[in-house]
Amino acid sequence: MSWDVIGQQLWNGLLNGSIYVIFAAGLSLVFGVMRVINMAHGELTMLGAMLLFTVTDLVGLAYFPGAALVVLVMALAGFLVNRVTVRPFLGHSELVVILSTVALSFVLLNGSLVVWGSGPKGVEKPFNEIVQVGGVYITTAGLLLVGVCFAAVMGLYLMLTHTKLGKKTRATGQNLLGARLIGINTTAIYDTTLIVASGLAALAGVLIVLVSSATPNLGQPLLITGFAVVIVAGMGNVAGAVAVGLFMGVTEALFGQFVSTYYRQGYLYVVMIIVLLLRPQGLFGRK
Amino acid sequence: MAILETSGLTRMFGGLSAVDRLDLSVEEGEIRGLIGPNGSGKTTALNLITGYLKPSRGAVTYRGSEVTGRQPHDLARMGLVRTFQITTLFENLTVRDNVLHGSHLNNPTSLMGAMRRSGRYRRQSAEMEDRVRELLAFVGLGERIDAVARDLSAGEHRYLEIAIALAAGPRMLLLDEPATGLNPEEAAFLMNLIRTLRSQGVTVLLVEHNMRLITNICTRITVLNFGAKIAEGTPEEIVDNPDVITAYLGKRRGA
Amino acid sequence: MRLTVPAGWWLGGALLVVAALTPLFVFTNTYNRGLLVLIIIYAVAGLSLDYIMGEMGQFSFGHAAFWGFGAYVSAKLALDLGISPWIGFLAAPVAAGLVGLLIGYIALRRTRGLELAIVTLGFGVLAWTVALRWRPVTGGPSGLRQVPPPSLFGWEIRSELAYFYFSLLLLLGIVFLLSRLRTSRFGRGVRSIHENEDLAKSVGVAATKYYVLAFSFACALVGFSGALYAHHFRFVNPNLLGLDYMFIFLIVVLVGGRGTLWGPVLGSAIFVLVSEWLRALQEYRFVIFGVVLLLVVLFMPIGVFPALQNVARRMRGGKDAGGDVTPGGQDPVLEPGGAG
Repeated sequence: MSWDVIGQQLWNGLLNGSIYVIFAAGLSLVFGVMRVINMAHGELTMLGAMLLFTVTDLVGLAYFPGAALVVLVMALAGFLVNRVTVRPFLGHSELVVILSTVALSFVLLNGSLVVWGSGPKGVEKPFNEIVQVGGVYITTAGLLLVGVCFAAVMGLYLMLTHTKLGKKTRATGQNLLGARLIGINTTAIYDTTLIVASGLAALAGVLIVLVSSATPNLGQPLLITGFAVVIVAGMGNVAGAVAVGLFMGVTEALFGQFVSTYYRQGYLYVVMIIVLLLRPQGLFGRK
Repeated sequence: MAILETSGLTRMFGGLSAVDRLDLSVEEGEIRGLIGPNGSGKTTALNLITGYLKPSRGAVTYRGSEVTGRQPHDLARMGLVRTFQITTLFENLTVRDNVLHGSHLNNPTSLMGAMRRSGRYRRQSAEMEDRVRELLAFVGLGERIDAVARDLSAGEHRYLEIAIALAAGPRMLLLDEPATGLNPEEAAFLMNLIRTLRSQGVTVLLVEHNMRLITNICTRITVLNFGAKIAEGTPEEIVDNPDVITAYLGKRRGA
Repeated sequence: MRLTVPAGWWLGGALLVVAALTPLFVFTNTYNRGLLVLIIIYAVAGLSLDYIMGEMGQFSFGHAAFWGFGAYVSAKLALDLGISPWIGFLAAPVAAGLVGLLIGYIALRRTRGLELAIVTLGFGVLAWTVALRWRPVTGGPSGLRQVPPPSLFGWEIRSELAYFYFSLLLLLGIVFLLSRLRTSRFGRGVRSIHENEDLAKSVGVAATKYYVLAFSFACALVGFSGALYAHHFRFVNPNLLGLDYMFIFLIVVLVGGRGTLWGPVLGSAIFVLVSEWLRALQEYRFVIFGVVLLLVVLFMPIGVFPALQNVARRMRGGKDAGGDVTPGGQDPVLEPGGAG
C-alpha cells in the first residue's frame, strides 16, 4: 500500500471526523444536560444544509452570510424544538421524549422531501482550490471545514468551563433538582442547551456542503453515526465525543479504503457493539 | 452454626473503603443488629452480602457455601432475602399483586398450565392467593389488599415490603432500616413482627442507625464506623462500650 | 396494573367481529381486502413491540430489523430451497427468536432504557446495511421477488380473503397466548422487573435471563409477522428492516395504547385505514403521521384503546383505570440500572 493513499484517507477521515465531532458534541450535550436523546438532531443538520442551499442558490446570498444566517436561524429554532417536542414531554418517561423527537424527525425529513425532493443539491463554495501536500490532495474548502469545527468545539469547551452559563449548564446536567434549589433557572438552561445544540447541528450542515452535497437524506445516517460516537465515548461526555468522533472518522476512512467500502458504516456499529460489550459505560464514561 | 459469615469483606470506592475488612458471623435464629452512624458502611455491607455490589476483596459464606459475588436472585433462591433502605415496592400494582409478584420463587405453576388454564393451574393459583392473604394478614395489611401500592401510608409501605420479602420464603432476612419513617407505634408493631419471624425460624439481620430501637430486640449487635467493625456483643455490652459511645452515641449526643 | 378483562375482551371481541365481517360486506374488492391483511400483519408486529414496551417497559429501535429478518428467512427458504411457506411461518420466528436471543444477551446484560434503545438502533441499522449490501444472499437494494404464497392441499392461498381469515385466526391465537402469558410465572416475572428491577431480583427473579427470553420472544413474534408479510405481498427488500417500518410499528403501539393487548390491533387498523384515506396526499402522509404521533403522545398518552375502555367503564358507572402511561407518572425502568 502506498503512503499517499493512507495520507489521503487520513485527510478524508479528518474531514468526516470533524463533522462527527461537532455533530456528536451537540447530541452528547443534550443528553448530558437534559438526559434526552434527540432523535431529530440529524434532521437539524440536514435542515442546515438544505436551508443553506435555499438561501445561496435561490435567494442569492454568498456562502458566508448565508451560512451565518442559517446557523443563527437554526439555533433559534432549537428553542422551538425544546418547547414543542421536549419540554411538554419531560413529565412523562424518557421514552416518550425519544418518541416525540422521532416524530419531529419524521416531520422534518418527510417535509424536506416534499419541499426539496430527494436529489442532491450542490452549494457554491466560497473557495475551492486544491492544494497538493506530498501525494495528498487537500481542498481549501476542506481546510475551512476542519478549522471551523475546531473553533466551534473550542468555543463550546470554553463556554462550558469558563462562563457562568456553562457552569450553570453543567450543574443542571449533574443534578437538576439541586440546580433548581440553588436558584438556577433550569428552563432557561434547557432552552439554551437546545439552542446551542441546534446551532451546532446546523453548523455541521453548512460545513458538510463544503465537501459534499445537500440532500434531505443526509440526516439519518449521520444521526446513527453520531450515536455510535456518543456511545463509544460515553453518553453525555462531550469531551469524549470529540476524541472519539475524530478517531471514528479517521479509522472509518481507512476501513473504507483497505477493508470494504460497502460496509464502511457497518464498521462504526461494530466498534460500538464491541465497546458496549467490554465497557458499557463507554470509553470515557464514569461508572 | 453460623448461617452467614463474611471474612475480610472490603469494598473500595475510589481510594476510600466504604466497607473495610468486615468479619461478621451471624448464628442461625439470631436477630443481629448492624448499627453505625450515617455513612458508616451498613448499607454497602448489605449490598455486598446480597450481591447488589461486588466486593473488592473478601468472602461471603451462606449456610456453609461460599456465595461471594453471586447474583441477588441466586441468593434469594437460597433463602437470603433483603429489603431496601428507600422503600421499594411495585408501586403501580395493587397490594395483592405486589405480594403475588414477590411470590416468584413459590409460584409452582407451569407455563403450559397457565396457557391452558388447567385445573392444576387454577388450584395452584388459588393456593397462592390464600398465601398472599395470609401474608398480608400477618403484616396487618389484610384490609388493604386491593389498594394500589403507591397510595399506601409510610407505615403500610414498610409492612408491604416485608410481606413481599416474606413471599420469597426467606431463611434469612436482611432488613435495611425498616423503621425509617415510622411513628413509635408503627415501629413497635414492626419490631413485634420481626420477633414473630424469629420464632418461626427466620434469621434476621437488622440494619439500623436508631440505637434505641434495636437494643430491645436484637440478640447481638455489630457496630460499624468508617466501614470497619468497632464493636460486637449483646445489647448491654454495646450500650456500655466506650468505643461505641465515642464513635456513635457521643457524636449523636453532641450533634 | 390489572387489565379489567371483561371491558378489554368485550371491546376486542367487538373489534374482531367487525374485522371478520368487513371483507364480506364493506371491503369487497381485492385491494381493500389486502389492506385488511396488512392490518393484521402490523397488528402482530405492534403486539410484539408492545411486549417490549408495555410488558418489559423497555424499547427496541431494532424491532423492524427482526421483522425484515423474519421476512427474508421465510422468503429465502421458499425461493432457494423450495421449502413450503408453512414451514417458513415456523422457521422465521425460530430464526428471529434465536438472533433475538443473541442480541438480547449482548444488549440486556448491561443496558436498559435509553442505552438499550440506542444499542438496538445500532444493531438494527447494522442489519439493514447487511441486507442492502450482501447482494448474493439478500438480492441487494431490490430485494427478492416472486416469493410464493402458502398453499393448502395443493391450493395456493392467493385469495386475499383466504389469507385474511388465515391470519385473523393467527392474530386471535396470538392475543390469546399473550393474555395468558401475562398471568404465568414467566409473565409475572417480566412484569416485576418492569415495575422494579432491584426488588424483582431480591425476590428471586433472574432479571437478565427473563428479559433476554422476553426480548427473544418478542423478536420471534415480529419475525412471524415478517413472514406473513413476505408471503402475502410476495417480495422482500432492505427497507423492511429500516426505520420507516419501525416508525409505523411505533404509531401502531402508541396510538392503540401501550401495555394493552387489543391496543396495537386497534392502532394498526387506525394506521392502515387512515393512511389509506390520506393516500391522495402521497408524500405528505408521513409528515402528517409525525404530527399525529406528537399529538397523540401529548394529548392521549395512554392511547385510543385504553381511552375507549375508560369510556366503556364510565358508562357502567366504574372508575378510570388509566393505561400504562399516566400523565406525570414515571417509568421506573427507563432509568438505567440503579447505581448501588
